Amino acid sequence: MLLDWLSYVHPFGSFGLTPWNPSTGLGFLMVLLLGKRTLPVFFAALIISNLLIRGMPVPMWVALAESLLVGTGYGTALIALLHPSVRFDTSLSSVRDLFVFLLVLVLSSVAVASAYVSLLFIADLLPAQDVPTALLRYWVGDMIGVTVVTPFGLLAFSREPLIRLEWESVFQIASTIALTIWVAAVFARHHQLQLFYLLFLPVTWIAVRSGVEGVSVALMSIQLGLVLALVVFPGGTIDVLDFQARMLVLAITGLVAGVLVSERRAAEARLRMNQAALAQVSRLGSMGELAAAIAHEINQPLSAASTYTGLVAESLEAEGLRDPGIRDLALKAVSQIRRAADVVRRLRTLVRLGRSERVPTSPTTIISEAIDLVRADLEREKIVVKFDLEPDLPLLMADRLQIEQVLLNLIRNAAEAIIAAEDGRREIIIQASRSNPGLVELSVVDTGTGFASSFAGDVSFPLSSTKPEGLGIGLSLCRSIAEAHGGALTIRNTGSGARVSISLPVAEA
Amino acid sequence: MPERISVALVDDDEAILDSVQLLLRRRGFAVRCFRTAKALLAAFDAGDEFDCIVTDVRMPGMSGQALQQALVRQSRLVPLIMITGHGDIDMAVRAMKSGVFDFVEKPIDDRRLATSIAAAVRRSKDKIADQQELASLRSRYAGLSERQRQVMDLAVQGLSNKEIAARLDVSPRTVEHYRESAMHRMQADRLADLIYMAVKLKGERRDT
Repeated sequence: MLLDWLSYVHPFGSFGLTPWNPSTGLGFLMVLLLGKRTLPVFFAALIISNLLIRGMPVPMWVALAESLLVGTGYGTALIALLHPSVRFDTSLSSVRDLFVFLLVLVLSSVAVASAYVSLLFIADLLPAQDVPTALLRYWVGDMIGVTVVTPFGLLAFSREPLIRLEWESVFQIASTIALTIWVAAVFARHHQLQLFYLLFLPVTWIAVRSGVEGVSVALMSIQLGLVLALVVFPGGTIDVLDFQARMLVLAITGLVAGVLVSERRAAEARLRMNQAALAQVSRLGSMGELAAAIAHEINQPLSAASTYTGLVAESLEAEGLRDPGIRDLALKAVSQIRRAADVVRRLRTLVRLGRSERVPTSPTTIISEAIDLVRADLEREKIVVKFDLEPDLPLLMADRLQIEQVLLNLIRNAAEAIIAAEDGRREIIIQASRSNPGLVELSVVDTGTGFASSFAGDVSFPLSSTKPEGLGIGLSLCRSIAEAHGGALTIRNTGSGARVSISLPVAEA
Repeated sequence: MPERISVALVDDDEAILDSVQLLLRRRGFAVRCFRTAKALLAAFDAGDEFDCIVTDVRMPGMSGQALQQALVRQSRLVPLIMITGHGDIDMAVRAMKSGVFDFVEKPIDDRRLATSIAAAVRRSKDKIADQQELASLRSRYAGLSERQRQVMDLAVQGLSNKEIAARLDVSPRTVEHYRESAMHRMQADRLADLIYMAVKLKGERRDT
């Protein structure tokens, strides 16, 4: 780490001034990634780099005091940032993390810059009229060093890989560097500072396409491009401070935009994963339900046949037939029928709902997650969802995915009924209340067509449906899931639509 | 031969109804068939009585469990046996907890069903006899006078006549008199009988 740092600082040390302080950024990175115990290394490195690299014509005590000030200032900031109560996530995955990081950085760098410049002033190394410029320069240098280097490093270590090597990302980075060099070159000759704003274009583009990871790479590229430009066109007229101040604005804007995009993407990915898991539950559940229905339908005649044949065997025996072989034939038929029944039973257990994982789960979580999955569909159909949730509902003993599946089914059914009704209010109400002691009832109430009177209250039979294209599996699956949880499913027509409820047991405290 | 055991058989499937009905008749039961649980409840309302109910679980309209709950609500003490092709452990446990006597899986093992019915009827007869005994005990106990009841309550706690006399502030002779009349009214020959009756009454009081 130390070597890395020194090699980094060295090439830029020759500038004498501080266009950016990557060393501070690297120090931040090291402490954030490796923990507080590396703080002494941070101190040591500060002193060594001061003595070896800068070789500034300052008295020894000033150099030491300076390292001490800088080290203490940033050290305090880092300790604060790593404190558990701050809950700072070093993978910078939320806007909050980024803001906390930037806030700590701004405060600590202002403090350190003031202390540093005051020290130089006291040591008579800085004339009074240069104090504001020095202050600003130092502050911007540190800020830019940290905002460019630290996020890049943090993301490089927490994401695998940081960016995918696709033509688009390579092209983005290459064009960003090229643009930076061109801007810096033109800037060096003609002092057209407004050209800098061109750099917002690639950064915004990258933020939208690749999120915060891409932005961190782009900012690093711009910095490198700038340094390259300074080496290639050592014009001297270039106002590095001005350039860097703008760079700082660009960096912060880019990072915030990038984190927003990344955060949104992560949320979308979570939603997709949830959807995939639910689809799996649904598939398995429907298969199980279908198998159960077929098993039931086949088992009924088998059972009757077995009883009849058993009676035949008995009758033959009672009549005292001379040939006992006929009775044996009937008994063999009985055992074959039982064998067939066993096969059917096994088929059913094979594709059961699967072992459900019932853990204490918040009913409101289940409801909000289920709604998230259908919100877009409902909005497209202009169906309004209202909630009527009793406050302080207890936790349910439930398999979250299965119950979400049930709610999704009920909400989709409700939406279909509303669409079929064509006129009237388009409204779904989700209710949750304590129905009986030890049970919570979740209901989906709609303003749709309602159930056919022959159907209401009766979902015992799979393979019967009120929908022309329905298999009759959906509600039956919902009922099976509710019953497997020790609850029940009830259906009622409300007059202006239907109300389907499932009751679920409360998790025992 | 004593009166034949009467069974109410409920199943929506014609073939099951017919085959099980044949089976039970051959085993000597009197059987009446119902296509729905509601039809059975209607028969009860009309004053019909059965010793045992054998019912399918999944039926359109009212399920086997719902039938059981309805019977409990109407405080009909007929034992109920469920037959089902959907025998899963969860459902069986819940059914037994809710007071279902037994659970028989399809295809039906005829011997199992017959023994289960016989056991159910025996159990329910015991239960009925028990309840009749309790009822008569209760009415006898209620027929005691205030003093007789006090003396009986103290006597079954093991107090002697003298101790009881001191407690109630009457003479031992009076206690002796009340004690004899109480035992007579309760139809107890010995103190042991009286204690047994007291325990039974107490247990019953705790239950309710």
